[in-house]
Amino acid sequence: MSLASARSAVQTGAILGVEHLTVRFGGLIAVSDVSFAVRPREILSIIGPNGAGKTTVFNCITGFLRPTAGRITFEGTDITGFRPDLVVKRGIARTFQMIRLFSDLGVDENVMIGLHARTHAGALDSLLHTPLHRREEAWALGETYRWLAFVDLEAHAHQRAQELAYGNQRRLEIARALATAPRLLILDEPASGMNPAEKAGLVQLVSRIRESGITVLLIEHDMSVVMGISDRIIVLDHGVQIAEGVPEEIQRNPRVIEAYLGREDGE
Amino acid sequence: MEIALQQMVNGLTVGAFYALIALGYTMVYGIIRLINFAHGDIYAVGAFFGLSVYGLLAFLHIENPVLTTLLALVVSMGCTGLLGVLLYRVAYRPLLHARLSILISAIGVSLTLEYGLFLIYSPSFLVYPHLFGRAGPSLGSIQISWLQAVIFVSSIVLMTALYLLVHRTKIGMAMRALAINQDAARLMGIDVNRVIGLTFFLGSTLAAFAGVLTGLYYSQISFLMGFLVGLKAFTAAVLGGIGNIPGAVLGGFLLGILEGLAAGYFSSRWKDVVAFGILIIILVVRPRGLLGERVVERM
Amino acid sequence: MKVPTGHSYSPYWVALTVAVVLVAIGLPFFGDAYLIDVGTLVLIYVMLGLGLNVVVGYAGLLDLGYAAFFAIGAYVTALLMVRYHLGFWVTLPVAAFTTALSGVIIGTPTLRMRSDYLAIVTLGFGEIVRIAATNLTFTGGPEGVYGIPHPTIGSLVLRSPRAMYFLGMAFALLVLAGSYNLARSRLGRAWLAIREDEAAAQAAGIYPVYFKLMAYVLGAVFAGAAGSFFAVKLTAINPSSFTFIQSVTILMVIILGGMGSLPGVILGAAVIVILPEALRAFDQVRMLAFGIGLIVLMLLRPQGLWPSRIGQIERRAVATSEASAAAGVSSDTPSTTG
Repeated sequence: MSLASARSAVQTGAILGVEHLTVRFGGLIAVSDVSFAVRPREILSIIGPNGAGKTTVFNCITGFLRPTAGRITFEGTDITGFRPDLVVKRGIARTFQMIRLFSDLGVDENVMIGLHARTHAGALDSLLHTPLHRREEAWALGETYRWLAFVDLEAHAHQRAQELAYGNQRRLEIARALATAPRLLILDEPASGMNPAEKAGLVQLVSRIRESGITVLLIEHDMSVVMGISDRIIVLDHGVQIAEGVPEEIQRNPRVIEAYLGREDGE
Repeated sequence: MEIALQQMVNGLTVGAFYALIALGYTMVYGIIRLINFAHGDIYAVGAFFGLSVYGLLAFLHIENPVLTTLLALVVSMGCTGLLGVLLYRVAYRPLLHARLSILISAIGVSLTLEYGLFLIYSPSFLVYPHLFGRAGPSLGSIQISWLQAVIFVSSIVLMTALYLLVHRTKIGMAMRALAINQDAARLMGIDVNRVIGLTFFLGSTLAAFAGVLTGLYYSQISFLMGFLVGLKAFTAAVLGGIGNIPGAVLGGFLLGILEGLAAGYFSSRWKDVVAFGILIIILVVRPRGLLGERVVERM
Repeated sequence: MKVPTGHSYSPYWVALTVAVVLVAIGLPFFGDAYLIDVGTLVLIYVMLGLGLNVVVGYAGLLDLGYAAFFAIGAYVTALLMVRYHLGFWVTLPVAAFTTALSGVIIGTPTLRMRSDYLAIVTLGFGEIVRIAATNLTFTGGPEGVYGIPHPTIGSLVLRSPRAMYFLGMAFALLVLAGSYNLARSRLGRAWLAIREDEAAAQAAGIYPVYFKLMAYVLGAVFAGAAGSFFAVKLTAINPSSFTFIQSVTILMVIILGGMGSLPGVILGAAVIVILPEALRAFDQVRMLAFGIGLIVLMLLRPQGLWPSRIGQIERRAVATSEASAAAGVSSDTPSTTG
């Protein structure tokens, strides 16, 4: 069922295709034969109880993990097993489940590092501060402020990243990811640890991201966030795909309900 | 062919030394992920302590070779073991969470030990008592000295004892638990510091054992003897699979044999390069070594 | 609030800087040959320290075989000048190229390793280079190469201690300027990111292996340049100048002074050279003091004697206010840089 939709989605111009993704760690099967396609400009959420393999799927897509079997295609190109930085250069950016900011650096420096792949100054340029270096530095500063403004953090530009409130730290990580100019943004539990006000802000931010033309793929545990924002939802349990569809369908799906009720609450 | 076999016999002796020292590297790395740069120098300290014991006993007119040797071994092992624990407490424990700092501190310990020995004992070579000659049986044209046999056998005995300790006792289980997951071990009520201290103690006693025997075998010791041997023993540990105890033993003997063959067939001036070459090749081609496990990085 | 490493601007440090600059400029005119030679040696260690600083301080790679590149630069210049009668200025680019190439050859397989393995492997390479230099006839064996001619500029022969000092000063200033630029560049930011969190750096599009290699090679070239200068300064070189002890000494320079800090490296070089000279009698304890010093430094003051944001990879305070003004955002939040 989902394989058919994956195939047909590829034919209808899916931006990301995951086919028969399988990941084994020694004897443990973390992900088993997962297939799905992401349509351009949609917001697709992957949900499931803890340990379902969701982050593992993300790690495969973004190049941090090599799958045991399966294929990942992005905008028609096979990117399976690509290095993480090459995946970024192709147009996919991500955030992490545990926030990975450069905590000792400034908020603006964090975003500026995200511009790395879009600039080209090399060793000689850096050593001699050539005109290319100077041009790119000026451009980078402008871009940095643009993305900080997009996530409403420009007032904090000169602070240390670790000084930000938790919700703002997550926004900063998103800003850094956006600075790479991705066409697909992958968010791993962006709302975790946020209070209701921050979550509302996050939902708004994700909408704005989609409106700017970026496709969003996210893992999330908070059902209000998921149901409120997703166009489609995929459910994983124990590494296996058990459901796929629009929010209303997923909420009524008996297998999904069983997967969640059969164990303790998510976190 | 006979050169090869003779070299292999010699190599097994040298290999025993490498194996004993490699065990110290591998155990400490397994438990706190630190390459103890100073471990080779601990081996040197063991040799020097042994010499001091011989000197003291000679002063007291105790001359029996076997008795003095046993005393030298025991005292040196004990003192060097304690020194190992002391070094852990002072120079490593406070820095366990700072990768770069602890490595630099280890270099500092290494230099301190080397030049401490230099100042306390003397700058040049010191001579060990000639207690056991090169006499021994021969198989065909291959000479084996009694000393070589004793070294080989006693090393095997010690290493077996270590293995039994690690795998058959409660404290050994604690060591293994710590090597797998420090936090979980702590939660199980294991006194992490005590176990790490014990690991340093055991590694240092084995190195001291090797040190005293080295003195008897080569007759000469010097304050820098630990530097090169330490590097080679580390290579042996990596060759066998760092963190893996049988691996350290295997790596040690294998390295000893390979080095012996290289010295026999090529020039002995380049034999040191053999060890470095093996180290580099292993780390590039198969970092987990012969018996080590593949490490998976989770994001 | 940020740790006050910005105390580089406090009156005490400013006075120290002024004193150092005055001594550096005045030495060749007021000092005798011996003092000028000491000053030149300090300049050599400044170059070496700055080079290793790129590898260890900027990129976070613990390199224990740095003396190997120093050796390669020295031997290339020495051999080309003595055997092939090439001029010093011709040998310089050759030395730079050779050291860069060695850096690539050694670094490519090595830099993928974990930091602890990297340290031992670089140590191994350092030893291999030294053993090769000692045993190969074409490098002159244990006696090394002697009779190295003096460098010339036009018809001017640089042979007096003062001339050598100025030449060394020129080299050191170039390396200093280069390091300063590197800290404030795309390369510098990439290194900083890799040091802080390698996975996050990858997620930002940085390929760590390439940048580590770049740092390693740049550091190698700086050492090679220092080596070339060393060869013509001493007019004779042999393997005993390129031991592991030498690598440790250079490491000591930057650890003592403060990793990543340019004034710190300069101070560290000065201390490392001058202290043993001043305490000649204590030559025996020099290495012991190094050893204990390393331990004590790591335990009590890991940031070194003169930690400074000058030379640390950091943002430009002035430029950011300009850019934020341009982006229409208020820039009167006080900058927290020192």
